[in-house]
Amino acid sequence: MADLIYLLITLASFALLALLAGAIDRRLHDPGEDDESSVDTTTRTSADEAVTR
Amino acid sequence: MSPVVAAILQILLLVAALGVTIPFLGRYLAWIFTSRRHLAVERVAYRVLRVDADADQHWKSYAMSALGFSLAGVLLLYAIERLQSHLPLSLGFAGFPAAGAFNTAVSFVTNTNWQWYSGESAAGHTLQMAGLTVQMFLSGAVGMGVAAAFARGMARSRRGGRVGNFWADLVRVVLRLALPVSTVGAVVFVAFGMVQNFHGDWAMTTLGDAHQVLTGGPVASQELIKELFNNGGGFYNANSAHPFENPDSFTNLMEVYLELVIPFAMAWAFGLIVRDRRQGGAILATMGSLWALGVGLLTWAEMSHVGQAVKLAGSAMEGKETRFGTAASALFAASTTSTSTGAVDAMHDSLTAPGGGIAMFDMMLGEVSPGGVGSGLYGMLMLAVVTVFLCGLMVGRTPEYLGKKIGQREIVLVALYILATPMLVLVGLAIAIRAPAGLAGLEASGPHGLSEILYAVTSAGNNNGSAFGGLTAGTTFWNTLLGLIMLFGRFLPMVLVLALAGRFATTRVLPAGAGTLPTHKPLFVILLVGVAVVVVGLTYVPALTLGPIVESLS
Repeated sequence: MADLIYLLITLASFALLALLAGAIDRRLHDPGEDDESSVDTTTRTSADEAVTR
Repeated sequence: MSPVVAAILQILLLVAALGVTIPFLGRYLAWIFTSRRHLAVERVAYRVLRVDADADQHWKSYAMSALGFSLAGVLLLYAIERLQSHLPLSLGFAGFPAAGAFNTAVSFVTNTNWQWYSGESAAGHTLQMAGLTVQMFLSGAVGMGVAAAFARGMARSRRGGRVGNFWADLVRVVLRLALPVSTVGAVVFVAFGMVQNFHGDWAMTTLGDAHQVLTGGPVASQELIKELFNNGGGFYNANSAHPFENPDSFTNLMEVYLELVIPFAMAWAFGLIVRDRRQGGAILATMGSLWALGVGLLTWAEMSHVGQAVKLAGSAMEGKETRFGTAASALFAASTTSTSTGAVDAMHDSLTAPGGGIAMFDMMLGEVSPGGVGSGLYGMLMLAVVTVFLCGLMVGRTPEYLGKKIGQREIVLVALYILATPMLVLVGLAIAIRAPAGLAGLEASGPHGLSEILYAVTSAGNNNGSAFGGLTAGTTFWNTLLGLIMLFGRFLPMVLVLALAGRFATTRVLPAGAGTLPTHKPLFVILLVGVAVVVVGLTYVPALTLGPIVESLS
């Protein structure tokens, strides 16, 4: 029983850290005023536009 | 020779040895982290691990690899500890209790090496070699890899958050650095009298006809990596105060050298990776200044402390190993707490009150002076970003560091990094002093009792691993609390560092302008030292006041 508890504690701790990494990554990808890198500088083709629509 | 002259000479010898080694080792480390070629043995390792070592990983992928690898390490080590009695060379020792196994597994995977148990009376050879020592190699390599990823992130421009390959960093550090140095170093240690065998308990009769039991084991092979990668976990309970683990003054000085050499060399390597040696020099100078300050203050505290017994002995000798004396013990204590090593050659509980406070403060700085093998560099670079930001605010310019603009998102990540460890330490302290189970293991009360707990949570949160000896920490409460503090104290800052590395790798490098703060000059070193002491250190002043400072004044 104790082994199961510590296994769950360990898994939950690492899962929390992984979720945090994911959350930070999403925030860093949000376009913002100070975020020059978030501006999409790639040239869009008509095919891309079609997919977007 | 007077003790003061001896103390100065050994410090000068140490500094000279470091000064000669650091440029060469720094260059070698930079090559490890930037080389495009894989050695044949490394390719075999990649095939076994089934990884693509040429893939340039996004920071999140790098972080997930580090977390996943470390999780596997915790689970494997936990299993070895619990099943110890069924393993060969267990010397008849039982498996660890569940809470103790959790604590120790996390402790060694996080490079902390906090030990609630006595190695010679609880851990068999298989656990020591295949469990604990393996993690000593791997945990240091993970930290160094993250520091290298941060340096690469700073050096890159518009690379979409890609910071390198975790598996390549891990395998290269182990195969090109840790294994060769540890092998040669272990032989040197054996030549100087360190134990290396498979004996268990060895009963013998002394000259006085008394019976004594000596415990042998693979000590030298563990000792080198214990110091080199700032692990600190001793084969024996007395750690480096034990003559089998630290035979004489030469090995003692060599152990201090090993604790310091990689963290300092990583700063040099940083300068090479970002293609500006002066930047590495500034980080190195800052680390060195803080280390010198710690050594000076701790040596002064131990050699001049007032009190009748101290005056009669000439210095504070209680708890010190007589083979080394006060000055060497103070040098070791300051170095082991300012790196994230945590090995001890004297009992830190017996340090004078100001000496113990300085040891704690060294750790509270966040292990940046020079800190852990990898965490020291990335911790200091985070402080450098704070320094640049504060200076930018003062002159009204958008701050930038090495051509990277420090905007809102960057500074939020740095602020979270700065707050993470103090929050873990101080919340842990609050929980421990409010819980009856937290107070149950204390031998002292009053300010020293508080210092015992403060030292424990500080050591765990900063992944140091040393301890005041007056706290019985082998309980379910302490093993669980400290295990969680160690785990989040290691990986929470690591995730934030990698996120910032990815952020820097995404943005372009701005050319330096007339208003750019020079970050390679002595003024910046002074500012960085000030920021480390004020921004980080002062967070702990209330706790330090109630513990070692009150004890010093009483």
